[in-house]
Amino acid sequence: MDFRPNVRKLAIALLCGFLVLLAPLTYWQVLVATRLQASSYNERAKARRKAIRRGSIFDRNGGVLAETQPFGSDLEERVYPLDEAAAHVVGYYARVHGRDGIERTQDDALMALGQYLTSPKRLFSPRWVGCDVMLTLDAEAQQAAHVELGRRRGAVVAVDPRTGEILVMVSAPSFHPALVDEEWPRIRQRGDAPLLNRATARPYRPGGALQLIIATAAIDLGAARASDTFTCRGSADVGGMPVDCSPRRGHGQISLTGAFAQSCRIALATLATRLGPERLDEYIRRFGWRGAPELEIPVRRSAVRELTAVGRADFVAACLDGHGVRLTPLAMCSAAASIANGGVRMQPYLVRSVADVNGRVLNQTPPRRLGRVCSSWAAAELGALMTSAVRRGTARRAGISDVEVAGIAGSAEEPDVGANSWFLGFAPADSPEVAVAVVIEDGGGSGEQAAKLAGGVFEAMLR
Amino acid sequence: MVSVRGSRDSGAQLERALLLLGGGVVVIGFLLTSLGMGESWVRTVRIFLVPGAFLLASFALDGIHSPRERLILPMVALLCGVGICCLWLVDDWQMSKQLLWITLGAALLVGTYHVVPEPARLGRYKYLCGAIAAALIVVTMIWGRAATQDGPKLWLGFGPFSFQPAEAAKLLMSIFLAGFLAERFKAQRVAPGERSRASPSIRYMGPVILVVGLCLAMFVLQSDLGAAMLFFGLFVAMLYVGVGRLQYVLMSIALFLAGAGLAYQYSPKVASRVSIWLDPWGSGDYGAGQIRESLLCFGEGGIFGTGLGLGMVGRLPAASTDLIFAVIGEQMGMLGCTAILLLYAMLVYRSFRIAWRSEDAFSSLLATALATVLAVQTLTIIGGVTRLIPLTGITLPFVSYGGSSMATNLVAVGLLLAISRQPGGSSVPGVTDI
Repeated sequence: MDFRPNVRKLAIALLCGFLVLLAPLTYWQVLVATRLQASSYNERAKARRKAIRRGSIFDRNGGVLAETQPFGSDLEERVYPLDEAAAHVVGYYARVHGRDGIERTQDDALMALGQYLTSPKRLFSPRWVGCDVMLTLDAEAQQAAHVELGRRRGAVVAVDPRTGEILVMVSAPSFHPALVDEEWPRIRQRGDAPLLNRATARPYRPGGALQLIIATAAIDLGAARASDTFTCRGSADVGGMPVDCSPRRGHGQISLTGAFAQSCRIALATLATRLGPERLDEYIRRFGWRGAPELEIPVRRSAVRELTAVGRADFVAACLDGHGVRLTPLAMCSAAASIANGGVRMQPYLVRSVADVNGRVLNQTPPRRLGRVCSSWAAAELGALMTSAVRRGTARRAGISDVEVAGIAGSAEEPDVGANSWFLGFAPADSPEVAVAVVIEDGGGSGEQAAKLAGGVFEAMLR
Repeated sequence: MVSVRGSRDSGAQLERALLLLGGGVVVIGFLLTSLGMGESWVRTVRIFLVPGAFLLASFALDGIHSPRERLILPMVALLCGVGICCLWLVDDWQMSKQLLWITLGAALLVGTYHVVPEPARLGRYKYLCGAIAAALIVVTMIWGRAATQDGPKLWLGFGPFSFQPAEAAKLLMSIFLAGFLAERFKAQRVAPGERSRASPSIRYMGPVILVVGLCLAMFVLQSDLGAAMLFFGLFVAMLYVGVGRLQYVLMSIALFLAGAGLAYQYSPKVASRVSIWLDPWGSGDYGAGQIRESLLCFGEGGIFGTGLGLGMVGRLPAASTDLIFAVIGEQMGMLGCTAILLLYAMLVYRSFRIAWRSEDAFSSLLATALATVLAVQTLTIIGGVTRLIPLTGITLPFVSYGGSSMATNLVAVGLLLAISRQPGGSSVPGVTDI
């Protein structure tokens, strides 16, 4: 009897064992590799961060918004030259409390981790440097808007209507991004949520902002012209609902232009019932107030009820007072920008480009067209309506010398907050360069505060 | 040196060419490691010791002029070199010592090859070997040193020196098992009139079961589960080869599982190993971190690996010994791991090839045992670090840090090469076998 055949069988069995080992290797190194890399047990990411110098964040003119500077002998600190003024957009990069804003969402680029892991250069250079992120923000205008807001709570957003670039995004109250860890308990205790980016994440009740929708739909569909007249006697029964106007005695015979500028509730209610909820819903959708908005930092969707789903009583209230409607300042600004851009809505964005340490641009955001809100002719008509609202209507305080401003303003009672003062508009009216939306919490006074602040922003940006 | 010009032999030329090729790979790998670690390239000069030692060994082996296995030595040299590259990242001092172990081991390899001119004669000392193996293990259990306070006693120390008797025991046990089985076969052959299916009955296996059982019991008592696994695997494999019936193998495995079940019930250490194996992420047990870190290494490596010298193994426990394959997995990725597995598989195959080409029963069985030890040890530790089976502490042959392990494995290679010599002669005329 020879045992050698048994040796052969044994050898085959053991060699099959090696084949079996390929299974766990494939599982860990291919199938779940990414999950393992992201595991909370994995300390590698943290260790790697220490070996990388984080890139800088610049404004559109190359001004520094955030950069890493040496501190002491071998330490580093993140400095934010604009401090509170841009804290919500730029965000923070804190040792203990993590990251937020652009610092969070552009983290991969700022650390250049992807390239770090694959670049052979890493073998020869002791220190790896992340990429720089250039934002669309205008640091000077940002600072100006922050100063204008002062100690009031609210938000200011300014967009270049032609491209969708966000030039200003200010939220108040703010915080010191470099001191987040130190001030964390105090920040959390404050009742006015300084960490909240009111420009993108706080939908406000817009009051009469829906009059923009009504006017756009009416003009774009040819249901009314700017010169059409309405009769306002102070109170009326519109579509079976009693509507009161101010002043009490009414506006008398009033054109659509006048009704828009004076926020004549009876004229607007008449127009809204004439158009019906389906058409208004369509225009709300076109303005992008229903979809999930995109941005490089977290943004909440505005909450706008389906007008077709509300009862007749609520329909008029929704159109006139914004019941069931909440808009973020960014959504308001985007609407103003769409009208300023001849009815074409552009995607708002914050990151202009990403460049590596040698200045080579790796990634550039192109302006992106989202769709048409109304015809260019209707947009021009609306521009004229908004111009007259600034000349002699509710948004009077937004006017500045030398430059024609178009806009509307209003206020809305909001439970627990008081009357929000808001404005949206653009300038110059004939060839718009900047669209602005302002909301001031508890500002009251039919939008005067917001309009005045917007005027200041226009002044800072167009002079 | 014998002045026979053996290098004319095409086998010798092949061996040296492969050694040079592997040496080149190792030197480049070492250079890359130095770049990745930010070390000066001057420090890479040391690496020439590895290919140098094996090249010298190749020449020294041909002092006995006889055709022999030619592929094993280059593969072993390459594995040692890869091990050195990975060790550098883990511990510079251990890497330097390992260079010494490899050099000494290569000398031992050559020594074994020359001292054992006729491996068949080793079979005479089978009982002595078995007794020494058992004695070593018992002595270690009583007077041994442990790495940690309550860790298994794995080392025997003499002053500043210490070695791992389990490593030597696996060689001695191989000789014992091979010798024992060979004798049975011899006895069988003289008995006339037997039918061919007859094989050594399990009745004859008494002494084997006794010795192996004793060793297993010692290891289990010491919780040296890796060694227990290895000895058990060796025993079952030899049982199968000797008896040729699958029933015994299945019975042994059933016995093993029953034993493992008992151990799970009554040994908290075994129970913790198993629970860690089943759920390394949720387990708070000491030791769960080991397998977690190992898996993170493999995940980090992905398909292509991070690159030599660029792994982050600071948190990996026992990175230089038990978990060295995880270090390979991180730096060389799935591709590198597959290549290493392939290398081991070829090494195992070539070792088995020696076994079935050998005329002498004892030599053949010894080669089988050595090949089995190599295969089982590799499968056990790689299966353990990839969580295919519970992780048990055992070295990865030729790669893990450790003098005892390196020396024993290279001595085993020396034995294999000695067995591979074709007896009775050589293809080169004028040279007589000793």
